[in-house]
Amino acid sequence: MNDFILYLNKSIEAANKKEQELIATECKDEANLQKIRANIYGICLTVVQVVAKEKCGKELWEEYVGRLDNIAKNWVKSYEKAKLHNDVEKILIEETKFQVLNEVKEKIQNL
Amino acid sequence: MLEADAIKLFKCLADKSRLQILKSLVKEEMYVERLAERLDLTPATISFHLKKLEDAGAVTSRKEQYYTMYSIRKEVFMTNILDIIKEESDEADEQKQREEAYRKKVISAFFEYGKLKSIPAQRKKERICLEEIAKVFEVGKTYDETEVNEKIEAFFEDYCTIRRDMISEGIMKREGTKYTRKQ
Repeated sequence: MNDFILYLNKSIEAANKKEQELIATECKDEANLQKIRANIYGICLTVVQVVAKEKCGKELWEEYVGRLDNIAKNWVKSYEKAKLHNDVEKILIEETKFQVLNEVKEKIQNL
Repeated sequence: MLEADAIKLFKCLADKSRLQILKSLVKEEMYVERLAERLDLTPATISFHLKKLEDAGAVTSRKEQYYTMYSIRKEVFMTNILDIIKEESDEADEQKQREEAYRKKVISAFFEYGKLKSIPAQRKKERICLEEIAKVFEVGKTYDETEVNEKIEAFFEDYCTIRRDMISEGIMKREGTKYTRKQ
């Protein structure tokens, strides 16, 4: 559990650092995507801390993944809507969110 | 080039990745995946930047079999910056541009993919949204209430409120059960 929290904190830190680097090189839009990444890691961190108060062991991770998938339901709707209307900005934002979520879920499997 | 267009273009160009895209396109026209490979960015990121460049008038696209080819609009970059600076705009034009920009801002905040998200609380903003919806009605043509409701419902489910507000704002006129859009 501690390793997982450490991983999330490090990921937030790395995304924030990358955001600053991108701002410094005049890549403002890509910097915003890093900000989104940091926010999603932040959400994952908050959720795991809440779930850890209620469950432990295998149950904790099952509940955690369930809650993450529940959060992502709205992103799926938003992504599908964006694709339907070819809203490239929204598509990119939603894809970034999914990317982070999949990364986090993969990390859980490897724990 | 209008002042508003120039600002949009300059804002769009103030980004390293977009400049890199233009540097590639100035040599030859390209499709998204090729640009992504060349600039080491994801195709989704490239599409996002190309959309911004296209909206600012810096690039243009055309379909070619399975791909969309993008090319730079050289004529835009041939414009003399000094000419843009020297261009005079009168107060009325500027006011019109400000109003148009405000309208666009309100519409993009309250509409999503052509649907009204919610009725604005501010009267000025609501009027802009009502005028936008009213564009589906032809000026001078008479509609019965069912037609009006159906057309409004395509934008917002509470068509009664929208219909009534259009009347009270003087955007539509009601005579019995017949409705017409005012000029």
